[in-house]
Amino acid sequence: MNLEDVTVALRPRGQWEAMDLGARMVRRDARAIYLTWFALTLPAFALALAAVWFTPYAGLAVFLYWWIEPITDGPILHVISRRLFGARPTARDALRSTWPALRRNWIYLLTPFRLHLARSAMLSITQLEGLKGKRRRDRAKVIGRRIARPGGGLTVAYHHLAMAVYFGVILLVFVLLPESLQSTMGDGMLQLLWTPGSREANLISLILFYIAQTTMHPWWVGGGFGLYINCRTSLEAWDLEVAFRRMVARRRRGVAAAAVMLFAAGLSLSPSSEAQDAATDAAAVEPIPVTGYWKANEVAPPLRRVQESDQFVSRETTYEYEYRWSRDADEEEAEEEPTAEARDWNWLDGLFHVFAIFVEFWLWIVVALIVLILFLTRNHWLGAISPSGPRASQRASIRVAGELIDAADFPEDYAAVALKLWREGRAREALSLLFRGRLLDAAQRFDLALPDSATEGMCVRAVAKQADAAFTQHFASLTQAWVACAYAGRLPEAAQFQRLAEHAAVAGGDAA
Amino acid sequence: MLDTTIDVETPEGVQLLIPVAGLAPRAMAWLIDGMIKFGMFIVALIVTQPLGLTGMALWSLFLFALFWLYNVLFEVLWQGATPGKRAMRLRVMNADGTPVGWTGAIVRNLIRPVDSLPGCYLLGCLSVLLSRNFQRLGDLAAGTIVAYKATDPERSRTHVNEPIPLAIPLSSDEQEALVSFSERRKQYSQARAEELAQILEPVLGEVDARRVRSYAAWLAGKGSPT
Repeated sequence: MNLEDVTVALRPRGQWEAMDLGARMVRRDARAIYLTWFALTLPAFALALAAVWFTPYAGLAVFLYWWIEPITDGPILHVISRRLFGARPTARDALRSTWPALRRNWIYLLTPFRLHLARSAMLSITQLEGLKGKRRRDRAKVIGRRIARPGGGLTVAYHHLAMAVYFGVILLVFVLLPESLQSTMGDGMLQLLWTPGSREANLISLILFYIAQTTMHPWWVGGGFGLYINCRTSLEAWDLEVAFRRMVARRRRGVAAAAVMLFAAGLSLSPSSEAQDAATDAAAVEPIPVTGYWKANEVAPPLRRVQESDQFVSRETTYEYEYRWSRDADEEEAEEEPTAEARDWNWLDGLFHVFAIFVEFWLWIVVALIVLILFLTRNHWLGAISPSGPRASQRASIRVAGELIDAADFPEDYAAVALKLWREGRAREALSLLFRGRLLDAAQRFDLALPDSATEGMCVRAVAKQADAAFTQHFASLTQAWVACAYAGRLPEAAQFQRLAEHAAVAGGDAA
Repeated sequence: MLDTTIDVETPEGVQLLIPVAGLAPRAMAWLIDGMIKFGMFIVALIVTQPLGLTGMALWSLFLFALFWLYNVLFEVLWQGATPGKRAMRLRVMNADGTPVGWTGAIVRNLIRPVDSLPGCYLLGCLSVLLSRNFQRLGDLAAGTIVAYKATDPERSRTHVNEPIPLAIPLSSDEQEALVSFSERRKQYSQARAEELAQILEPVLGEVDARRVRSYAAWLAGKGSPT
């Protein structure tokens, strides 16, 4: 045992903390410990299962299995106690230690002392200290005074936790049963468990017991060892011994380092320039010429070095994260050695990158949709922006009395159409067409400012303001005829209509 | 070095070692809380029984509060400890050593039913055994730990030796070890004390335990400064 090689932090701890430390030690070597555990217990467990199933001595078999289980304590203790001082025992080593440990510990493992409440804590005395007879008993008294009570508490806690695992596993099976089976199979299982003495009940109990022991037993052994270690740490001031030995070692190292420094200094005093170079390299000190005064160019470089050293300059590194759009920038970034902090944030950078690509994707979709819509509606807007559209489009559409007069689908020779309608007897339509056509002509020829709600009278006044007397007179009489027709149902004379239509045809033709 | 502590460095550069509590003490604390809750449950039943249906409703509300709020309220408002934890000298705190807040307490207790799955806290027990800082699933989700309250180690403050100045410089750890050697004198035997003092001879020269304790007294600032 060499305390300097100790691999756990030694200091006087509370009793619960000591158990926790033991649990930590078991966790550290869980692999070796569980391999050992299974290698030792599985054969015995299999035998016990067979005995329960095939022989009438089920109770005896379970009892025997339970009684010899402490045999595993020794190897588990072997693993964690060796590891405490830096050795790395494997499961094979642990298995080999089974028999020697048993020979030392049999009194705690197989006699009624097996029932000692603080067994896992007391075990270390016999196994690790190798005492016998009266000396062992005295030692057990000294150590037991300190750890028997917490060791007993640990054992009580351990049994409760093992029970929790036992029933937890039963409930786990229930939870995993399909609902349809829960009533039948679940009840059956419960009945089995509550009927002591049945073969199935014994078998299931044994299996559950094994699972519970497997989960908790190594931790219980570890907890006991933790108590023992803590007891000795405070009884023998182990932590102080470690601290003192480190102190001595540091002093020795310090002396050695000082010797090296002296040696280097001695070399620098010697005339050999090569040795001087080596010495100055080692000490990393630039020799500054010691003369009465220093020239500016001589003093500048060492001065700058001093100013830039850590003692004079406080450096801090600030990281700012900006999103680089271009792929090249990313690659440039990647070439630089990433610092620890940068690596920590890399995932965030990546996240932003993915988000950016996502947004970019949808923006392109929107662009494509806009292009598609523009293409499909090209007929509507192409004419409006083309410099020389069809003539019809030059005739302005106007809105009169809330009704749109659309120039595009208005017949070119509306006067002839109107005459034809008149002859067919559709006088009202004919007059309407004639009036609207003439209004359109006026709108084209003069710059009519007509509101959407313009009445016929407003149209006449607007035309009168802009047009010449002949046009105005014709439009006025036409409007009068239309108004009489539209609102009073009085049709003009056939001759009068003929005259109006012909004038419109001639005037329209002139305009065109 | 294997230890059961969390290393926390405060903004002031002070290093704190927070001792984290493992399965056994936590299970004990849970058991004590369970008994208290059971007692409250029975008392509430007796009090509300004469009120008939209204009493039943009140009792149900009380049960709900007991189940969901007992731990949260105690942990946030009573320095991180339910009565059970207090009895075991435990307290809940954030993994960085700061006091647990509403969010932490609510999250770790909302996940408590998951820890108790499939029953008997099987998942929680396994998680405490296997996680690095003895955390159950709720603790892992909330970023909390259950730690021991700091206790003063057993110290002997009587029998101060005559302080003797120490000629050589020691690091703070080394000074602490010397002072500790003096303070814990009652826990180890005189023979062991001399043995430990022998170790220091390469550093301190010819010393016995008494002289080492004198140095310790000087380091601890006892007696008149010289």
